[in-house]
Order: sequence, then C-alpha cells, then structure tokens
Amino acid sequence: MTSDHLEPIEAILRPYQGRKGVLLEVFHRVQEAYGYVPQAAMEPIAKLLNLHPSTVYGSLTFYTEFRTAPPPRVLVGMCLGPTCHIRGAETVKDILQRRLGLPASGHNDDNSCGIHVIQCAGHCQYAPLVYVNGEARREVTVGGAAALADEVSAVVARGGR
Amino acid sequence: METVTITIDGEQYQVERGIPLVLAAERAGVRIPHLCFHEGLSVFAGCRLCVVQIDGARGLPTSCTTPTADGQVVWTKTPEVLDMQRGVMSLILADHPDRCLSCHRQEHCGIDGICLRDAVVTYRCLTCAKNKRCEFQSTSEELEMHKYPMRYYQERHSWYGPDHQERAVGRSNPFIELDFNECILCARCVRACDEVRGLSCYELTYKGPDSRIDTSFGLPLQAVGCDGCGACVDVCPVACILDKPSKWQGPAQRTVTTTCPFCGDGCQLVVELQQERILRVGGVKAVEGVPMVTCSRGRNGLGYVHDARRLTQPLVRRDGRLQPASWDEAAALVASRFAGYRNGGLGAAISPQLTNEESYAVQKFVRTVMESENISVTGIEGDRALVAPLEAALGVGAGTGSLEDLAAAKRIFMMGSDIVSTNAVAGWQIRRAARMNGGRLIVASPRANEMTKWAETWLQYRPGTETALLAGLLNVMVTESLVNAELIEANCEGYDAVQAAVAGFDPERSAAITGVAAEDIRRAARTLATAGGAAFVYDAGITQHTGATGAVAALVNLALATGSLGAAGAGLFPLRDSSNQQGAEDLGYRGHGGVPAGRALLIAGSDPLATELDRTGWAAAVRAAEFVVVFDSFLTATAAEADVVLPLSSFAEQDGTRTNSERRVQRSRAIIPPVGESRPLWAGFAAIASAMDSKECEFFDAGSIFDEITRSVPSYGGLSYERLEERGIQWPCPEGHHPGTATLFAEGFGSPRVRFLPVAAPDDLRPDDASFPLLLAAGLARVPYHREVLAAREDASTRAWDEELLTLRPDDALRFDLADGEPVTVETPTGSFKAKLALDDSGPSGVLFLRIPVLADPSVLLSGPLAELLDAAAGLRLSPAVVRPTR
Ligand code: SF4
Ligand code: SF4
Ligand code: SF4
Ligand code: SF4
Ligand code: FES
Ligand code: FES
Repeated sequence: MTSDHLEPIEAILRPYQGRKGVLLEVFHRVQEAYGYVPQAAMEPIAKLLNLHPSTVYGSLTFYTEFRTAPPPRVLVGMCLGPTCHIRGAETVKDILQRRLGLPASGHNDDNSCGIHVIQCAGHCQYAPLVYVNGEARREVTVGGAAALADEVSAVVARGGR
Repeated sequence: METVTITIDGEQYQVERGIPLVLAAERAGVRIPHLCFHEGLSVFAGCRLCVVQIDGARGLPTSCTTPTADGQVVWTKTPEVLDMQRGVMSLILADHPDRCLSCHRQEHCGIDGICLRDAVVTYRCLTCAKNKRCEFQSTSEELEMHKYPMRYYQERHSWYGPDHQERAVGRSNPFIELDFNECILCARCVRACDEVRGLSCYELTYKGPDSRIDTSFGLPLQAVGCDGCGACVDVCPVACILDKPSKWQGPAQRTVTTTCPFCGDGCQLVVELQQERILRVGGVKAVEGVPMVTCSRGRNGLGYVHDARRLTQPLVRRDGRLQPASWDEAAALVASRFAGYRNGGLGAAISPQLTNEESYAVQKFVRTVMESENISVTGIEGDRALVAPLEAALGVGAGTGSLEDLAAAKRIFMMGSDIVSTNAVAGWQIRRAARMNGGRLIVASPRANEMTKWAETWLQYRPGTETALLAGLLNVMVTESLVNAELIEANCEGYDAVQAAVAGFDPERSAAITGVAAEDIRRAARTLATAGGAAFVYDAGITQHTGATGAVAALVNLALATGSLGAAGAGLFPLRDSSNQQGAEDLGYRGHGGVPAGRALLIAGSDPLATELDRTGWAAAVRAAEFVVVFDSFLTATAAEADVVLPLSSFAEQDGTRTNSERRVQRSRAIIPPVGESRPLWAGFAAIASAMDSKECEFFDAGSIFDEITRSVPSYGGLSYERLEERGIQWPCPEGHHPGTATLFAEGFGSPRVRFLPVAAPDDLRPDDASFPLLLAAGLARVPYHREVLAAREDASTRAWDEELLTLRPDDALRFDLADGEPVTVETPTGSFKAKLALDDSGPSGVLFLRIPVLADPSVLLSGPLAELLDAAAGLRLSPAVVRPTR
C-alpha cells in the first residue's frame, strides 16, 4: 500500500484530522486512491475517528458500493434494487454468474472478472440495470442476459479493455 | 425507585416505572421469551420474539421496547402471542442447525445414540458444544417448537438452502473460540463488548440476508484488541462464542460465587465446577441494571489452583535439601526453632492477597506468640501510600466512595497507570460514565492507554511531575475562586498554608515542568471545580516514582477544595492493586513493604525474591537469616531458599473474607477440597502455636476468626458471615443492623475537622545535564507478585508482558539514530545497563520507559542479562539518562 505509486494512507487521512462525521467521505477517498478499502486502512481510520476497527469495518460493509478487496479487471455491477428485482434481476445475475463461470463469491480466482451487487442505482426506468466497468446497460432482461454474458466474456478475454 | 402497578396475565404486580416490560415481568416471575434483550445491555429489538398483547395498544408490541407504565394490562400467553412467537422462532430456526430442536424424539436421544432421522452430526443439539446450557435451545423447548411445523424451510439463505455458506471456525484465540455458524444475529456480543468492556471487537457487517457478525476483516479476536474478558461469551445465547478451554466440557454440576483473588476491585466470580475442578468462570450478572463482569485475569487466571506443581506436603531442609515431612514433624520443628526468636527476633511478611482471617491469624501469632512487631505486607510498592494521606487528612485510611457509583459519575479525574490493565472493572465503570452516561473524564497519565482514548481532556505529564500538575490545578481553582469556600471555612484546617504553597504554581509554571499545555490545565480545573464535586481516581502508578505520598496528598487537597466528599459518584477512589491490601490495613498492618527485621524470617504467601523490586535486599536478608519459614502454594524462588516450607491452601480451598478498594467486605468461599495436605494459614499457625504450648492461636475455623475480627475492629463490628452471604457490606458497619456505608461523609464531616495536607514543592525534573538528555522512568509492569498469579501468568494472557521492556518515542529514537528492536545501552549518572529498544509513541517526548517485568521462571530473574537490567532498574526509578546503540 505504501509502495511508490500509491498515496500513503496517512496522507489521505491527514485532511480529516479532528473532523467529525467524515467516515463515508474517508471511505470514498480511500477507494478512489486504491480502488478498494483495504484491511490495512482499518486501524488508521479507526484511530483517526476514535472508533474501533471492527466498527469501521461494519460501516464499510454496510454500503455495497465500497469494496474490501481489489476490484476485478472486469467489474459487472448488478442492480438488485426493488424495481430491478421485480423485473428479474436475480435471475439475470444467476445467468451472468453461470455463463461467466463465476463461483458463489462472485469473483474469479484470478480476479479477471467479478459481479458486484449494488442497490437501486436511481435509473429504475431502465431496470434491470447492469454496469460493465462503469458503463450502463439498460433493460438487461432475462432474455438478454446470455448475450450480455458473451459480450462480457469477450472483454475479459481482451484483459478488460 | 418509583413503582407502578401493572397486570400481567390477570395478576397484579408492583414493578419499577419505566423499565422494559420484559425485565419487569422477569423480576415479577413471569417469563416472556426473548433472545436479543439482555439485562444491563442497551435495547436492540432485533429478534421480535418478546411480543405481548397490551390492552388498548395496537398489534403485538415488543415488550423489550415497551416501558412499564401504571395500569398496563399485559397478556403474554394468548394464542395470537404464541402464534407470533412460534412464527418468529421458525424464521430463526430456518437459519439454524435445528434437527434436534424440531424433533419429536428429543428426549430419547443421547450423544452416543443413533439419530433415527439421520440428522448430520453438525445439525444436532446433542452434538453441539452448548447442548443443555443453551438459551436458544431452552427457548425453543419453552415454546415447544418440536410440536409445530417449521414454516420457512428451504428458503435460499436458510441453513438448508442453496445459498447457505458455512463459516470457518475461529480457533486461534487462546481463550475464546468463535463459530458463527449458529449465530442468530441478536447482537448481544456487539453490545456487550462495546457497552460493558469498552471495545467493539464485533460488529454487524453487511446487511439484509448477508448480515453477519464479524470482527474487522474477520481478524482473530486478539488482533482487534480483545483481552478475553468474556463479556461476549456470557451473553451469547447460542454456541457461537465459547470459552475455548471448557468449550466441550458441558454444563456445570455446581456453581459457586466467590470473590476474585487478584485485584482490589473485588469482582464476584461465578465459578462453575465439575468433579471438584474449576470448569469455567462466568456469568455477566446485572445488579440494578449495571452489568457486573470480570476481567480476563479473574476469568482465565484461576487455573493455577489445579496446577500439578502445587505443594502437597510440608518440606523440611535435611542435609541441605528440602525433603517431604509430615505436618506434625514440620510444625514441631518450626515451634522449637521459633521458641528461640521470641521477643523481636522474628520478622514476618505477608501477601496482600491473603484473606482477612489469614492476615489476622499471622498477625496474632507474630504479635502475641512471638512478641514481635516486625510485620510487613509485600506487594506493589506504593500501594500503602495510596491511602496513608487519607488517614492523615480525613481520619479514614480508605477510599470514600463506591466503585459502582463511578459508572454514573458526572466528573472524573483519573491519575495513574493504565487502569484498564491493573483494575480493569473499575476502569470499565469509568469508561461507562464517560461513554454512556455523559460523565466528563479527565485523564492524567504520561502514556496513552485505553483510558486516555475515552477522555475529554488528556493531561500528558512527564513522569514524576504529578505534584506540579496537581498544584497547577489547585492554583487555577484558587485564583478563579472556584473552590468551595464555605465548606472549607466550616470544616477544614490547613487551607491557608496549602493555598500559599500553590500560589507560585500558575498554569504556565506548572506547564513548563509537566509538559502539559497551560490551557488544558485551566480547562481541567474549571471542569472539576463545579457543584456536585468530582471523583478522583488513582492507583499506584502515581506513588511508585516520587515522594510517594505527595501526589496523593495533593489529590486529597483537590477533593476537599472542590467539595467532592460525601456525594455518590464523587470523592477519592484509590484503586488497590491486590485483593486484600485494604483488609490487611484495616487489621492494623502498616508495614511499607520493606524487608522486615529479624534473625528468623516468616514469609507467608508471597515470593519477594522473584517479585519485589528490592529483590537483592530480600535475597541478602533471606541468606543472612538463621531460620526461614515460607508458607506457599508453590515451591517459589523464596521457598526454595527456606528451611521449612509449608503448603498453603489457595483461595479456592478455604473460607474467608476479603476487603476491596471500596471498603466492601466480601465472602470468599471454599469451592474445592484442599489440594494434598495444604492448609489455610490460620490452620498452620494454630498447629505451630499449639506445638509452642501457646493458647493464643486456637483457631478452629475461618468463621470464628472473623467473629474475633469483628470484636477487635470497630468498623467491622456489625458484620458476620451470615450478613455477608448475599452481597458484601461496606465498612464502617459498627453494629448488627447497620446497612454499611456506601459513601463516607454523606452526613457531613462532623468533628473533628478534616485537614488539608502540606505538599512539598514539586521538583523541576527537566534534565539539566546535556550529556543525559533523556528521563528514564522505571516502573513495574502490572504486578502479579503473588506466586499464585505467577502460575496463572504462564497462560497466554500474560506472555506478552515479557516483551517490550524499554520503550522510546519514534521521534526521539530518530534523534539518537536508533531503530526498533535495536540492542541498546542505557547510561545514567550512576551506572548503565543493556536492553532491547522498542519504539512506541504513547509516551511524552524525551522519556525512556523501562517496564520491569515479573516472570514466572525465577531462574531468569536471578541470573543473566535480565537480572542485570532489573538490578540496575531497582535503584533508578527516575533518572537522567542517555541511550546508545550497543556496539
Ligand atoms: S446453539 Fe443451542 S440450539 Fe443451536 S445447535 Fe447448539 S445447543 Fe442446539
Ligand atoms: S472477550 Fe471481552 S474484549 Fe474480547 S470480544 Fe468478548 S467482550 Fe470483547
Ligand atoms: S454471535 Fe452470539 S451474541 Fe453475537 S449476534 Fe450471534 S448469537 Fe448473538
Ligand atoms: S478486575 Fe480485579 S477483581 Fe475483577 S476479575 Fe479482574 S482481577 Fe479480579
Ligand atoms: S432498482 Fe435498479 S435502478 Fe432502481
Ligand atoms: S427481545 Fe425484544 S425484540 Fe428481541
């Protein structure tokens, strides 16, 4: 984490010294810098905000948008919010997961591809909504899931580009 | 307590107003099934099992969130209620290995029986570690779940559903095993660790169907700060969190409550036994809503009583070697030799962990039979000094308040070492005051520790400058007219002199000496000097370094000046390091812990050669003595040098009483039979005295000795074992119907007047010699000097103490070009020693801390580099120093 090209955690946290109610902001900043919120950030954040590391972790995992492990090279964001759910998002997720050969954890072992669940993305008119590396795919119905899976497989094969 | 009348299932009850209905019902003898509620923890309302019907209220409210109110009419067993409760139970059961709970054959199966339903082993209560002591199991049985169909089977996330993920069992912690597979998400563990212990090792993580209890990133408990207090073990209603050593040992055969033998907090331990062996210690009990707990020492440290190395018979030195002997033989030998040392020839030292009865018996033997006054109490240096000034100023040599009142204290000033590691449970009460009850906490301590984290203001002073800091505080109070002048005028002497003495210590001067910011001193003084007074809590951390009594006297002055004596949750709270230091003093011991004079020596229950700071002085005295008798449970370093060693019964094998830091006299009970031929001290002295043809020490049992004590110590006059049966009583309790005294001076001071104490002008400890730019502060690590604790030390709880002896701030280390873990030489004006340096940013800059450990293996102490280091440190305490790499 403190390797040359990454900002050290101390530098990231410094501006928050003495401020209250900044936990989520801190998570966002750390995730921006590292792509996820690493285990090694728990102690420093806890110390900064006078919390226990487990409390920090509890808040971190409560929000699905924060990652606790490095993001996969191809990241499929799957909305399971109420509208998407009603329109069959669970089944879409199952299909994607199966066709992409992802284990129950939702991640490939080599971290080349992974599915992350998000709660309502705020675009319910396009439900079910899927993001592929941040790019939205609208109305991915159960019927369209297989086609999307093949498309994603191709991106994975190209190493994420 | 305000009461209201409520009706439960047609019966009327008088209950406390405003408490959770579920608790009121429980106290009235009506059980409402509940899983997440736990007395003493905050209300979580997550399980929905505690539903009831209340006339006039809509639906089925949860009784843990409903406060009692006058005229409530409550129904707990209507068909609607029961149906709802069974529905809730089947929801929880759907995600629980429930094959036995839902089985109609329950009663017919045994652990070795064949399950007719072919349930997998891990799905059965019968093969679960919590079987027969499981709250969830008994709740399920109470609702007769096996007679009703399960409603939510095969749901995706259920135990038997496709998405069910098994979680790995956490086995790496030495005290606690974690298996969250049975978790019912009641969050009791989360609340217990947070609210009782003051950590937050557990948290609810993720959400919805993925919710799970976890530590930060699933780390083992020891990696997230857990010290094994077991508060979480006691509250978990299922088999997730269990004491590791006894996990698979099943339920207790017998349970006895006794007093912890370790520190002066005097916690009540609920000891579970099987076959005359201690199985486990536990049981968070709430007393009037405040959780009563134990620390890791009390919970995990009792195993020593079953240690195979316990002494089981007397040893007598023959041909230069200690050899087994009978009690008669040993007693006769001691009697014949002791006869030659009557009238001052004998010096005696006792451990401050002995019971009152034992201390009394030794004292009586030494004073009446041996006609000697040379008796001292061993133990942590400075412990006696904690109360001597109170005796001088107030006429009472003890703390003035109650420990449990600390949890509700409004203002707390704490000074000393890391109280959470020395007097854990008192520390947690203070933390509770600060964290949950709006108490304002000011901590004065040289190093960061758990308490400084919870403090509103942390006064980080340089070690040894306690009196300068306290003078600064009083100075602010005087100059800003914050003192309670009326009270001082009416009741106190000596104020003018003290006022004059602190006049020169304005916050700026105090700041220059102590290293604390002047503004912080002002702020702290203003906080403390407000109506209602403050609690002044301190321990031997402040009496180890400098003119021992100075800082305590200054604290007494502050308490008087702020008018803090007499109110609950305020006053002076000396926290004693050992379980019966207070009792020994009540019985008249005034020894300061030095080596007692005498040609013959009697050492009872302590191991000064291994554990006193002045080990060298003790070793010389033992070697020089003509005849040495040691009473101990183990063959300690000191016992190995003795002429006669007598086997001592441990705290678990004898009746008696101990008096804790808050003057509470509590019963200590015989819970197992004596190991081998070991005896309580009083029985040993009865034998020796009778062999000396003395009638002075005819002791038959602990109870009759206690009666003798109550006749000779006026403040114990109204006590008896019978009265102490339920809960201890705080002295003074002069006569049989007196309820005891929770807070001293609650009725005012009366006469004679109390006294402010003169405090010598504090030294300015800033180094003035450029060749020794650092300050070396040497102090004992948490001091388990009693041999019993030493045996317990060999468990993992204390192993870490032997590391990190010498610490320095990283920025200071940079100045001297030193690295973490580097071997260094510390030089002082009087000598030098070698040690390994550890970097640690918890202390003030410019200070080298040396922690003097107490090790289980005496051979390490008596020779080798550590011995050299300890000898050097014994003469140092506070000294200018310089540190260089060892080349
Ligand atoms: S935790 Fe309790 S209810 Fe669950 S399997 Fe074990 S004994 Fe049975
Ligand atoms: S044992 Fe004590 S410190 Fe450890 S997790 Fe449980 S409650 Fe917290
Ligand atoms: S681990 Fe035990 S106490 Fe903690 S939430 Fe689960 S069942 Fe409750
Ligand atoms: S705080 Fe003291 S008395 Fe209480 S359990 Fe711990 S060592 Fe024993
Ligand atoms: S529910 Fe998926 S976008 Fe709102
Ligand atoms: S006990 Fe009331 S909701 Fe759990």
